[in-house]
Amino acid sequence: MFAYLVRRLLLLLLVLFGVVTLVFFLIHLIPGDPVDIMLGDQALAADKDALRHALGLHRPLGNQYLSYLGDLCRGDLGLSIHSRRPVLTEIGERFPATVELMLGAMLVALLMALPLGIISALKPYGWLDGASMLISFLGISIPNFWLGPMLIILFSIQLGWLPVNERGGLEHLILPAITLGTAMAAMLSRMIRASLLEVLDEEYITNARAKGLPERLVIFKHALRNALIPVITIIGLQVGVLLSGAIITEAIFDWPGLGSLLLEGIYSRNYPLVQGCILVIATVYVLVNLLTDIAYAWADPRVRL
Amino acid sequence: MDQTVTSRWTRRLLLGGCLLLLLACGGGEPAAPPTLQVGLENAPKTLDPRFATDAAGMRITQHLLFETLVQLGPDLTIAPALAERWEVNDPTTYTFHLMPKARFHDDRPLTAADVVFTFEHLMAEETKSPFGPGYRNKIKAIEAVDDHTVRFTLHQPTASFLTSVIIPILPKHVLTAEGDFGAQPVGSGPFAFVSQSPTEIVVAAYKAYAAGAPKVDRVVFKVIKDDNTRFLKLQKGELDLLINALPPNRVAALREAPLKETYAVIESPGIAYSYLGFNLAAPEVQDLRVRQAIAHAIDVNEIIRFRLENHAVPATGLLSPVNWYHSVPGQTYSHDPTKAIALLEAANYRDPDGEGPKARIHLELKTSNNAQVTGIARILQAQLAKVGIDLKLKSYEWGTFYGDIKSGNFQLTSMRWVGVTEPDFFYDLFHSSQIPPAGRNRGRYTNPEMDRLVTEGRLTTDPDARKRIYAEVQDLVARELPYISLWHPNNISVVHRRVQGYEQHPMAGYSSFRMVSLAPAE
Repeated sequence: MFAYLVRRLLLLLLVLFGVVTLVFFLIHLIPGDPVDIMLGDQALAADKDALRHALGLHRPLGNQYLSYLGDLCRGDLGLSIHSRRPVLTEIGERFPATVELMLGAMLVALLMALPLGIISALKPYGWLDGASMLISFLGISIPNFWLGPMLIILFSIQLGWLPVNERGGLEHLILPAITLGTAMAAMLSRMIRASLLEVLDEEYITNARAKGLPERLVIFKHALRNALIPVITIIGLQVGVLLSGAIITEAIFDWPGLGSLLLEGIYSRNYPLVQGCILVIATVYVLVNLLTDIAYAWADPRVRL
Repeated sequence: MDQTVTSRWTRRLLLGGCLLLLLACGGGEPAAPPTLQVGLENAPKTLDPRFATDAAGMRITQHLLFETLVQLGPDLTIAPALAERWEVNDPTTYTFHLMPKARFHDDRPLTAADVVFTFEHLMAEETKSPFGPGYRNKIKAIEAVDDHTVRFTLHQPTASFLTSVIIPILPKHVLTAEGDFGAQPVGSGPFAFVSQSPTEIVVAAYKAYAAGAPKVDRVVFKVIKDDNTRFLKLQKGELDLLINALPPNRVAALREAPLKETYAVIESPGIAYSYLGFNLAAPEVQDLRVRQAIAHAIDVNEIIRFRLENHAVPATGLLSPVNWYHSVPGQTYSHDPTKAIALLEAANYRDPDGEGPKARIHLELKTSNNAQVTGIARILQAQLAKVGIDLKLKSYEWGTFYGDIKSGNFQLTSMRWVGVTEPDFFYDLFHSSQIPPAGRNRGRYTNPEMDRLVTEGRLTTDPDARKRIYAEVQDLVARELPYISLWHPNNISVVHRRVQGYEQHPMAGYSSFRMVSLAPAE
């Protein structure tokens, strides 16, 4: 177990190094100049040069890359070009909003997927299964940018129950979480159904029924617990999808999270900020995957790490 | 058996859902003080007036948080602001007399020393303000004659000087102390800074404002980037004011029931200017007849009517009819495909296959990827195709696009100038010395006649003589077509019916917020 963890953590460093390198060169390859965007139309060439020097953007790219790596090793993500504040501070301000949205979406996904998946597995090929299949298809095909405004129209405008946009109390979280979580719910419900159907065919389930256990116990104690093991993996993998899918959802609901920060960074060619955001997203993704694998071993003692 | 399992779970889930909803709907909001809610498309990049160059940032700082020496009145002429009056002692010397009662929000008086500090600070190299170079070129010296009198000495007569001093006056005592001025700006305007987040800017009425306290307690700017969400927010009645922040096709819905009961739409001619620009360094468009052919091939009225839903007026030049310096040039270009074809023939671009699909000439139009802009580009493409011009469209994300335009990597582009009131802008656009990176002559236009006129225009201080010079400039642009003029979009404010006293300024600014009041909710 310990050796496994060390190996995984070393691998993680390697992956992050690759991400940093790739992002650094990709973002610098895109045409466009942060100094231009920052100083605007009125600035003179001399002033732009001065600012470029002050920001260190005049140095050769390889040189900039090495000093960025060096700073990174010391935990310094650099300064945001526009605000001159540490990138880590800016990300830190936005990160809680993204986590809140992600957890909300995950909760929505589970609340929708569990009953849908269980119901359709218990009565496969019945009308409930068909209905849940339809809901899943819809959920996975409806794009966020359509679902979001539709939910606003229904719940905020017509019914007047929930606010239109912005971050705030729990009532502010509901619509963005549904928007972001629906696609995941759709996929999870199909996963749960398939996995549960498979488990219900196992001999130990027949055994449990034969010894006269109430069906409720058979399903929730014996079948579901085992059926959820592959689902855990999927949830872990979906964290990355939620993080990147959040960009659109955040834009619709003016959610001040990492996604909108990243987008602003790209538009203004704020190199250190973009690098920082992607690095954080990648780190979260890799870490969550590691945790998933550990959780997997915990849920299924047969899996050896 | 399993039937009961599912139904029990369904019940539990339903119950949980209801609880969530109850939680969400509970918690009544306390009665809010009178607050004007204004929707914004983009968050201001900064509220530090030394660095604010974007529209939202400049409006909030210049019109609400800070005061400027002079301001542009509703007719775009220079009007008193912090300076009650001023004298032009000679063409290079200006004396401003400040309002004696002006105070900063921390209750310190605003004096001539602050004005001197503001300009010297902006002009200092180490401030790195984008406004520094402009002032360094104009201002030779600035001195405080007494506590309420400031004298500027210029390098040479500068006709645009009064327009150029419209910049917030900074508090010397705050900026010379430690602290992050951008995060906590202290001004002397009718509203004081309260807070700023990525989605919200709050300012509060400055009760001690010398010219009279604002009638609303607060102005809250909500940053809503998505066009749809912004409209939905209006539908819910959660915004009091949107200025030029709706796509044209949404405005019609606001003029019909039920929205017209809640909102009024104020529409008036604006000063923004949409144009088609040529890169005259590109050989394909160097022939004037080709540019004329394009001008005749474009049906501006069709685009205004069907794409802009009549929320614009055709333009004959950079300066809108609202501007005192506007004049109709001698040459205008009506929609005339036959003439366009004749011009192309004359320029030796013959039709290779009669009615066939082959084009006479291939050109490329580069635009940003803004949906409105690319939609219009497709119409231009169709209109030009009718006279045998094949227009290839390329749209890029703004940073990339802007880089290309500045470096001259384009043939044609469609862009817009916003907020131009001072005709001296023609110097930046068309003087041969202003080719990027020096200035904004991105089309690489050079003409000694133009150079002479725009130089004369900036040195002439007599308004009538200036007007004659700029009439010639507008004539010359229309004749030589470095730009094809398209239209001036109208200013459109959507105002909640509870808002009283809002006046739409041609610059679409916030100057009237001080006079705005809110009718009590029924």
